Amino acid sequence: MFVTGAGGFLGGRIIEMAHLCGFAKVRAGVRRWNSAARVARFAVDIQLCDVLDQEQLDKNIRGIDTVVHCALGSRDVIVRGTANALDAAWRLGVKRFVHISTAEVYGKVSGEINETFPCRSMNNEYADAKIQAESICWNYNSKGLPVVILRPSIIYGPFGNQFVVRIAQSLYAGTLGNMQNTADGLCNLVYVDDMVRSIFYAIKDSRAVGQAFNINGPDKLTWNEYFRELAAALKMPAIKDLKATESKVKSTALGVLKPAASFLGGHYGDLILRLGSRLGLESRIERIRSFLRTTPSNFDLKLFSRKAHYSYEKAANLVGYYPRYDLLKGVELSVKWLWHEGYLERFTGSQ
Amino acid sequence: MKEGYLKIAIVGCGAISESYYLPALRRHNDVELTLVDTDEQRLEMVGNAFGTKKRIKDYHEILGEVDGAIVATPNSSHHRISIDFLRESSHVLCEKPLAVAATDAREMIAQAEQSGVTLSANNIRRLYPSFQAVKKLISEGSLGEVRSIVYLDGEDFSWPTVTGFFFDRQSSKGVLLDQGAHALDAICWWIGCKPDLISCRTDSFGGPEAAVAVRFKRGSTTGEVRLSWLARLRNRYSIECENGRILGGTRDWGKLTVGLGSEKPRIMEVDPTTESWRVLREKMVDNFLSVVAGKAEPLVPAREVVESLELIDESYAAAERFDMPWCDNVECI
Repeated sequence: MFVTGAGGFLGGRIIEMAHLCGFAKVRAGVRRWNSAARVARFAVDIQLCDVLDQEQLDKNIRGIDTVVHCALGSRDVIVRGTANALDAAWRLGVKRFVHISTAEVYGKVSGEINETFPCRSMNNEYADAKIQAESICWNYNSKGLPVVILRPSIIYGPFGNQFVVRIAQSLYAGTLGNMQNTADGLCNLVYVDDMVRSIFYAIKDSRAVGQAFNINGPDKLTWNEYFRELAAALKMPAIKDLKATESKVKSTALGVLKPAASFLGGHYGDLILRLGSRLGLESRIERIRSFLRTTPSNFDLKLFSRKAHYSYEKAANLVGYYPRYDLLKGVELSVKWLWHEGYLERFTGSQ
Repeated sequence: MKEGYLKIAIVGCGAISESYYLPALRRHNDVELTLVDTDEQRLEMVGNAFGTKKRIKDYHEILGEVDGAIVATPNSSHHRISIDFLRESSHVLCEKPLAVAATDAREMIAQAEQSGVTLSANNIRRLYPSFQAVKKLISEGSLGEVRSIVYLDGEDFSWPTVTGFFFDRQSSKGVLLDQGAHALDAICWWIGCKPDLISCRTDSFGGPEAAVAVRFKRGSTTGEVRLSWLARLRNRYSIECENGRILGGTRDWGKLTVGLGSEKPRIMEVDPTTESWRVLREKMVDNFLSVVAGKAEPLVPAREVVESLELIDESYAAAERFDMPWCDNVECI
């Protein structure tokens, strides 16, 4: 089995689980060596594989039965990278191609969403690129490549930067909390191991071929509930009540400040830090950095208020996928991992 | 050789040569430089970038022909390549870790002594004015005996490694050998000896570990070093002494905080002239050239880092896995 994007959150866990439970002999494809530290801890084959490089893809896919395509990046990486991976898999006789898409392909929706809903563009570069990539997948499926598309909702768990590390950091920083109607949308959390198992089902069960499946967790919770559960597992005393207007003003300010800060940080970061240190402004610089890192963006706020639930019923009925990790179990493991990696020591300032 | 010129070879044209050694060396117009790398494309790219015309693929071609060699190859080859140059009486500056095992390091040192040349280690943190100030504060004894040391150093691995040798489980160890070469060397240097190992835990499942915790003691001193390639840690050291404490950043060469007795801790600006990383790397490379020219002694003689390599060896030998419940009883389908 070959996994593209094995240096990432999901790709890394596929490699770990496949290795730990002996599901398959795996080859991990990483775009750059510096993203290999996590998977290299396991005795697995690691190869450089930029999905924009057809030669590298061919080399890695030759002799492989199954490709799990997780590589992410710019629009070009998602669209052309997927086309390249499909083409290599098709030419080289791969027996199963699992494409990791996203529930974002349904666009701005509400209610119970199943796979009969159309993919809809909502002027979001990531979602639009994923829609295009899915369309290329179906072309190759028609040509005879056995393709399965999985549309995960919100994947969380150990190594989850976006929905574990960043949320925990924001809770400590007080930029997330009890956000009332700003975060009363459904959060559709799926624990990363459940997501990986859904991939294994997609590989093992021939009924999955030519199908797209939503993959979600067992709980129907709001984002506010997730924030509360995570804060409780982190043993935080109480989470902050945040007014909707306050969050919106801050996210608007973030939208204005972030591009300027990225430019300044990228070009003059060292100089700013040195000057700040000389002038004793380190704590102010740290406060600005913390604001930029932890304040929810406009995109986040839209996500937190979306009242859609992505049903995994089709995956359950057709290939027997049922999530095994409820929020309590998933959050408990995520928090243990946060302590283990030293994040919480840093966020709480202990040690 | 042009008169007055030093013949220097850089063996290995990876990221460290490109970002560290070559920018420092190109300031010297009295150096005749040879680049060595088995990868022809890399040799051409780096050679063109730094205007170095003499390029070869096999270092054996220049053995005995250079005054000094900088060995900046993957860790597992430091021993073999350094010994080859030392045997031919070239001085060697070896990238850290000096070797993958203390026995290899001792063989390298013995060869240098036998050939009458020097062997230096690029343990750059020894040049940090802040680290030197810690050494001085502890040696002077004004803070009393050291009671405990905690040293935390971690970042998401971002080194632009060209070959990825760090992650080759056949030839590489992990973050303990990589960052531990700095951290455990600093500990041994500061307290003046190698402490006894209490325990070592890593996250390895058969490959190079990406996180490690080493606990140690020496007399009444206890300590812990935690290192990571997976996440940013607090990146600081904290040294509790009988009569005070020292705090500093593991990557901050310019200052540290010292508290004596019940006094409010104060920030010590130890060297405002060391404004950037560039100054430190130039100091190390300039020293090597002076050593080769017979005008100076090495700033970091290899023999001084051997104890830390012994501690690293002992740590690997005793390593147990961290408790990581998210990797226990992983269920398939």
